[in-house]
Amino acid sequence: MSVLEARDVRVETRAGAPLVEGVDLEVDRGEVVGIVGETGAGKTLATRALVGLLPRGLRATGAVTLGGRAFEAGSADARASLVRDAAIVLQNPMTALDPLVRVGSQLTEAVVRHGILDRAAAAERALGLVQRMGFDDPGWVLRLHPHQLSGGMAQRVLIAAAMMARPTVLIVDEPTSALDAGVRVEVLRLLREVTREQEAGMLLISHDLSLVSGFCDRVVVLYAGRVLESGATATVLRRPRHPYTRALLACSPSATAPARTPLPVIGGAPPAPADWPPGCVFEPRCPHAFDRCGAERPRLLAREGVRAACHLLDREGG
Amino acid sequence: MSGGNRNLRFGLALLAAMVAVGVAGLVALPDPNAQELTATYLPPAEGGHLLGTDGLGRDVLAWVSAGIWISLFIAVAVVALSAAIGVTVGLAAGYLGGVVDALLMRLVDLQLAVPPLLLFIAASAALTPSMGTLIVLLSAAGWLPYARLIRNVVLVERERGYVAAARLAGATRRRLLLVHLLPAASTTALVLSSLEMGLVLLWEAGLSFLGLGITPPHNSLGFLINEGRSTLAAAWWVVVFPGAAVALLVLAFNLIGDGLRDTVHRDVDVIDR
Amino acid sequence: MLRYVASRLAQGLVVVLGAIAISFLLVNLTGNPADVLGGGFLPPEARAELARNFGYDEPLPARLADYFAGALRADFGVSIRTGEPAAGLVLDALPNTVILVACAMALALAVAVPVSLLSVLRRGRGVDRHVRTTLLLAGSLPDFWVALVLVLVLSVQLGLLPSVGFTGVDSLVIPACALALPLVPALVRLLRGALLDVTEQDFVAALRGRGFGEGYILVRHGLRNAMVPFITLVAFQVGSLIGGTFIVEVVFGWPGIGTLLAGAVAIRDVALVQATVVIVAVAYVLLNLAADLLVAVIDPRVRVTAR
Repeated sequence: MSVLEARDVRVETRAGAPLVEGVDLEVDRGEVVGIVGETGAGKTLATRALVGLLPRGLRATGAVTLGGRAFEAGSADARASLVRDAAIVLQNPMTALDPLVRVGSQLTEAVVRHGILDRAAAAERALGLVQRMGFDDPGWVLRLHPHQLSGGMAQRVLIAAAMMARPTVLIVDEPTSALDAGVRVEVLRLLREVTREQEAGMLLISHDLSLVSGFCDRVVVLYAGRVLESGATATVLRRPRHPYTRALLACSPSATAPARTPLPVIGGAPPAPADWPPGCVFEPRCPHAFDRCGAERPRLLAREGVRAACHLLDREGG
Repeated sequence: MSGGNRNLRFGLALLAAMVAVGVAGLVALPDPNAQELTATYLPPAEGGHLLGTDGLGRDVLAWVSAGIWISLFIAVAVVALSAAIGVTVGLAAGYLGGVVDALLMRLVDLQLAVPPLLLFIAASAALTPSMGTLIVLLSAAGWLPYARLIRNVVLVERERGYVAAARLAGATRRRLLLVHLLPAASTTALVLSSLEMGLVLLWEAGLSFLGLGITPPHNSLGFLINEGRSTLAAAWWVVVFPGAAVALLVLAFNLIGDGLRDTVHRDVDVIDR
Repeated sequence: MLRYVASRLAQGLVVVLGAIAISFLLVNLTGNPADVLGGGFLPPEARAELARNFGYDEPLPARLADYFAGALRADFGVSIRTGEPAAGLVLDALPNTVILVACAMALALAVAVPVSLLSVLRRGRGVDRHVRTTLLLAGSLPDFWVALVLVLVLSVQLGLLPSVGFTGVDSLVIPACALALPLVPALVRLLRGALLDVTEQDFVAALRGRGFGEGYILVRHGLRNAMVPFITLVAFQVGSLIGGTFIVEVVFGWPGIGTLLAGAVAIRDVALVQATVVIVAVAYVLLNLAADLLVAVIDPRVRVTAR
């Protein structure tokens, strides 16, 4: 039962230069889908387009179905889903709250203002959610001001805030990159539990493959604004079909490799949006590229439970 | 940004128009000090006086035209002097730091606490008003914004790569200041100058209005406004026209400054007074 | 917190000392105040007696020390016009000026706040540019001239409002409006800048992420956050606001410091002039301190960190 479906999401500048193209996303109830890619790959833009939060000057198209409604990516309708159906948790927990307002007020603000709950009910739910987040004295936390929270505390509070309207889709953007290692695990665990409990679906954006491998049911690999591979996490990460995914995995520091093993890197750099090659976007850096790769953009092909956009698959699959 | 450009062009056009009025005065209008006691308080467009006459029969348009020159002269002199002192001190403070910088910052704090206009008025208790003393007095307050601005610009530019490169290449301190840092500061100084022109014009008009600035035989716009105060009900033109002239001059410089800021300079924060 | 207040007071003291020094300098600019007082026209015996009376024939360092000591006690000598203590006269006139300034500020804020909000919400579009041009014009008008024009229209032609003196609330209207007019552009510039800075912050993005519209965010969250730098910046400008009041006061014969000062300057009442300069500086320091305290009330973070 899918809570989010997006087809052919495209984000472009006002001048028409594409930043994200042909992205399909699907999230089922209770499922955690990870979106991975390097910085600048378009992960943030693609997800923002789903809820109409693009920066000024960018346009989006794409068919999105969320919360039982269908709308165009990047539209005002898309933005309306943030009221009830979708919630977004951003990267820097320490700066995501109004510094002048108490935490409790900020948690209840949206649901009360949008008419979802009355003040008393909202306060009660806030208390319950904060307690669920592992705080022993939730009443005290709600009375605090944001600067009195630590990073981990703030992120947990923000997750509680996100869940206030009981959204069906949770978009979480690098939720732990600003947190200490010890707190990371805790926050991620809470995220996954709460998603499952509320029967919501979660889109987790990260550049950290190890994080994704631990927490996501499925993974989507984004590079230069296009999906290169997607599928069940275990399958994709154990037997990646796309050369980029393979290279990415090889580059991740391994805890088990002997010390001083040189870290492989992928030569070159991702192309700027204006310089997207006509064929496969990864072709300039791909060790297995052949002539078709430079000329024709590969489509996502399904092979053994994963989908990858690579001509190699075509060649061997037949 | 077309908005900035438009402001700039409009401001320059306005300034040119005002100067044209001034030129007309030199060439075609009667002596502003010429009194015609049989033609006092003539309303505009009567008896050949386009803007009317005042209580002593003096032609208002002629006075306004002469006043424009006086105001511009004073403003240019003050701004030039202020800029000269301010930029020098600012360069020194920004580059050398230390005592010079600390002293400058204390002076800036002080100027905030004791507003220039208050100082000017107070100083007039001890000074005899003359054009020279007025220019010096106004510059005594006018140099601080330059110094502060240039000091800030220097502090920022000092850390930039090209300065370090020049230093490594053996540039002397003087060369660094003059050849590298001064040009970086000059665009900001230019924008500040147009805004300062407007401010000095207002200061001078105010002081002349109080009788503490330019007095006859020189023709100040502020002075005429004051003169017309007592007969405001009967002869409004003696107050309205010179004041409008001041406003238009100030507006011209504000437009120019605003336009320059948008087209030349992106760091608006550095300039805000 | 207490430490913070103490340090601000200390800074303020430095400023006040500087103001005292300046006030001393002003009067001694052209030599001896005895010459200033007499206008240089006194016969030698009269001048000598004047100098003796006021202690002006003492050597400079002694005079400076004397003056400082006196100023710190709020003793500036007596006004040569009335013989009353100068400080007392200034303090009597101060409340009238404060009332005028407060009204002008309130008026200006009433206009500046909505204009700033509008300008930020519609930034870059037609409305914003028109607003900025209008503000540019408003900031170019000499306040005393605006005062006179207003008097002309409202008082003379229409007979609506009085034009002289402080005779009640209606006499406040024109002078306050005249003062407020050039104040509005300055306030808008500051507030707009502060609001724009706030909209760049992360929590605003987070608020958008909770489904709130730009207008709601700006008014309910942006304004309060912008107030923190705004109040501080406005407090800095208070000095020039008071300075700008002087001429308008003279135009209306408003019984405040401005009229007092103008009268003092005309008869070279040195003590009164000096007292005015120093008291204005003290008022500025106190106002800034009040602003800092106000900020501490609004912003919980400030209470924790004593700067």
